[in-house]
Amino acid sequence: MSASAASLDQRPIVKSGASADRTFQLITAGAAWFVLILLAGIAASMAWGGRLAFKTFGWRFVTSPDWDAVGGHFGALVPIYGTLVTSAIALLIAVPVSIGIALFLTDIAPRWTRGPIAIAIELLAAIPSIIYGMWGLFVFAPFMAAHVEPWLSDHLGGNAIVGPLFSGPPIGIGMLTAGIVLGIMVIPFIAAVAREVFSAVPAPLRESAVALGSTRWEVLRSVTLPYTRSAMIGAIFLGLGRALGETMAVTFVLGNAHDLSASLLMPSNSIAAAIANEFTEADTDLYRSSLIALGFLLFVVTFIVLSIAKLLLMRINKQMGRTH
Amino acid sequence: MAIPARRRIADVVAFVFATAATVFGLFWLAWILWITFREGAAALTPSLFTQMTPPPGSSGGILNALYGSAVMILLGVLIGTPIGVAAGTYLAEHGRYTRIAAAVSFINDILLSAPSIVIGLFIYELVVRNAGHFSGFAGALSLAIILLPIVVRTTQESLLLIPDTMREAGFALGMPRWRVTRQILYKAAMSAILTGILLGIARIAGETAPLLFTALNNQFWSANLNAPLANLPVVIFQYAMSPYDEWHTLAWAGAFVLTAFVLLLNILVRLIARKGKQ
Amino acid sequence: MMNDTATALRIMPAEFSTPPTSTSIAIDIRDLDFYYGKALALKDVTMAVPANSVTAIIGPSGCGKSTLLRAINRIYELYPDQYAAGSIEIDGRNVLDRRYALSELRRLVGMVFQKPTPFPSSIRANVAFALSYYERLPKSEVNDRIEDALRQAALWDEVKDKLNQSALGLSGGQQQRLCIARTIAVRPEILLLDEATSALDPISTAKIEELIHELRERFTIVIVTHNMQQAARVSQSTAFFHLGELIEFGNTSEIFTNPREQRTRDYITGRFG
Repeated sequence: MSASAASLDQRPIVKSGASADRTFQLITAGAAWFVLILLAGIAASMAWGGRLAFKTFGWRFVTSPDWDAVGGHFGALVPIYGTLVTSAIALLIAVPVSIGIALFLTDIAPRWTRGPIAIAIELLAAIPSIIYGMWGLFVFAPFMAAHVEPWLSDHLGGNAIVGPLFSGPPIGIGMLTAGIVLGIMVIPFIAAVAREVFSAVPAPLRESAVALGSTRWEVLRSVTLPYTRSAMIGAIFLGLGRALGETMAVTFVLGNAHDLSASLLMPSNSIAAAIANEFTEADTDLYRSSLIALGFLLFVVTFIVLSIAKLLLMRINKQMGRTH
Repeated sequence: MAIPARRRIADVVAFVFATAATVFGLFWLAWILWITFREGAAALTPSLFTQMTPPPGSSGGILNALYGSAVMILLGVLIGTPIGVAAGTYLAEHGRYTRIAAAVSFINDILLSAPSIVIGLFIYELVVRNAGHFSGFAGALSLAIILLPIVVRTTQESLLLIPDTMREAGFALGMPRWRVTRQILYKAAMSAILTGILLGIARIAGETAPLLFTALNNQFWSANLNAPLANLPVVIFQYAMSPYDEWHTLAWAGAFVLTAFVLLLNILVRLIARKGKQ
Repeated sequence: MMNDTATALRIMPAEFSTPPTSTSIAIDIRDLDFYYGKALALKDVTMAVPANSVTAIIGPSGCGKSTLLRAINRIYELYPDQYAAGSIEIDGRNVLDRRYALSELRRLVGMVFQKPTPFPSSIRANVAFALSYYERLPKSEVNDRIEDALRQAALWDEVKDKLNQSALGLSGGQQQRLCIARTIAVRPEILLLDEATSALDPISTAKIEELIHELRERFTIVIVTHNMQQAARVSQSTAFFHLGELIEFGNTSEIFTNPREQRTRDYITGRFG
């Protein structure tokens, strides 16, 4: 055998490493399980904390607009409605803007500006939401009240169809303002995914469309968007999940009102804002339980929305993995 | 080649639309930052960093809030980082091909975007209600939970970026996995993981919602983690929502400090990360 | 030995599986099948690798030559869908047996990869990495062993003044020799080199070939290469693989001057691959 074989038997193997490896595996696996347990724990504790409200009110908890802390009656329709409306406004703004930004960054902008512009857009997501809230309260809401809302109620308030949405006094605080602020806040999340999937459209696909004489607009409409459709829907759901759960910015500019109002100019409430505003003031078990029940609803809805987003985005990732 | 006018116009519209959308996005960034820096710079005084938060109608500083935030962030990092790194390691190494890792990876992404106010409620139910009082420790725990999925994700991605040849080289020497991971992979992924942790710190530094019913706030100096603890975001929130001008000024000063910290950390980290890549 | 040859005889003529010059067998591979998922990458490979000499594995890409190396030290076990069946005996023990401890096997069988894979630490730490794991030695002896390994890898003179500097600062050829030093520092019996020079420039390649020539006396070396001149230069025996099968195995000089199989001839004369 080989020359070194003679000494082989005398060489002690210090340790097999198997037991240390086992410990390491147990620790890391335990931490991974912890993530799962954490999510389950959050859901369970919300359900447990909210059980009193669900038991007391049943379905009326989500269908009743009455939120009366003094009378001890809690119906969450107003915050639920406010959450949905503000998130819808946010998406109406953020989706086209994000697609535009993604198009700009992948196709139009001079190459050297793309990195800095992309970082600037990402910084929109880095600004703490409380800063959005303060700016919204002190600067943007007065601006809306002075310049935008009077115009809206003058020009659209009388309209038979959309009129009810834009009626009422221009006070700046309300669902429209909150929706716009939310829209700005979710732009970076949608734009980042959009940019990533746009630049993942195989170049030959786009180039052949260009070679056939397609304009930039036609390439976007007939190649890029169809190719990235499921990922774009995923990105929109991701933005929706963010918008639904956003708390501080909305709390500042939504007005904490518990009246159901069709007008987007009127103060309203959202699930997250109601919890933030009222939780430390909740003086009865039922009140506190109702707010935690709201938290449970918010958690379940965002969980579903974010799961859909993740599933759609996973699909495009797999596709990209295959084409590369 | 001649393109019909209608199509040419559509193309111009696309160009204008995309450019306008980008300007629109940047416009808000500029507006918000401009206001924050203008109002904040005007409110900056030396006493900001030497005095405690004042009662209504008098001036003061935010020293206790800065201290409380720093302590809770530090504690949150100390709790969240080891668990996050360990879990991320499992996803990328031992567990890479397992179903449980796929499930954890999925759930982690959801936690990453989960409403932070719900995290606050969770810690309230878990800690505050049982202890019977708000505490800085509870605040730190909720920050740790927000940081955790960020660290898990960064660790997993940083480790997966290391080519398998590096692992193979370690294993081919007969090293067990924990040694390969600790002495080779962590070293190679260190800067990327640190980048993620720093961005995570920037994120939790601004979190307000999860502190509202965990750390609450404290107008006075307190170093007791087992009692309500002052912190910058909640001070900004309470003072901005108050009717007092002095408090508004302090809220702007706090907003300025917070934004400057978060943005500088973000930009710095990105610059370093880019340099590292070159 | 007799038994080995007899077993091999059932599959192919003896001179196909055992080069006549060999005196003893270092790696005795029998009926080896290898799967990537459901794809069979090696089919019923039987060959006896002679000790203390250089064996070259050649063949067109995808023929399974790297897979063979990856089976010998079981590095494939990192991936869940890869699987080997059959037996690979070293020192009379089947290393494919799950009870054969991986750390023991890989200490016995070192491997160097196509691309240099220096660890992100100092040159000294790279060499000491596995050494300090296997053996608890006094510091002075560790230093001796590091120097010894670097000398054997013909790298000592170039790095002796910068042992504490990062290994990532070395040139590609130096990095590859560092990987060899790191591997031989734990005193293996067998060295597997998987296209170890294909990422290097001609001068570095020449240095490593020279090194292989010197190491041959102390180690059993198996190299995978797509460079036939290299196989001819450095090896004593050559095995030609095609589509996962061992087509021909014999003395390097014979394989290159007078192959028995048409496919070997076609490959060597550049007709495919």
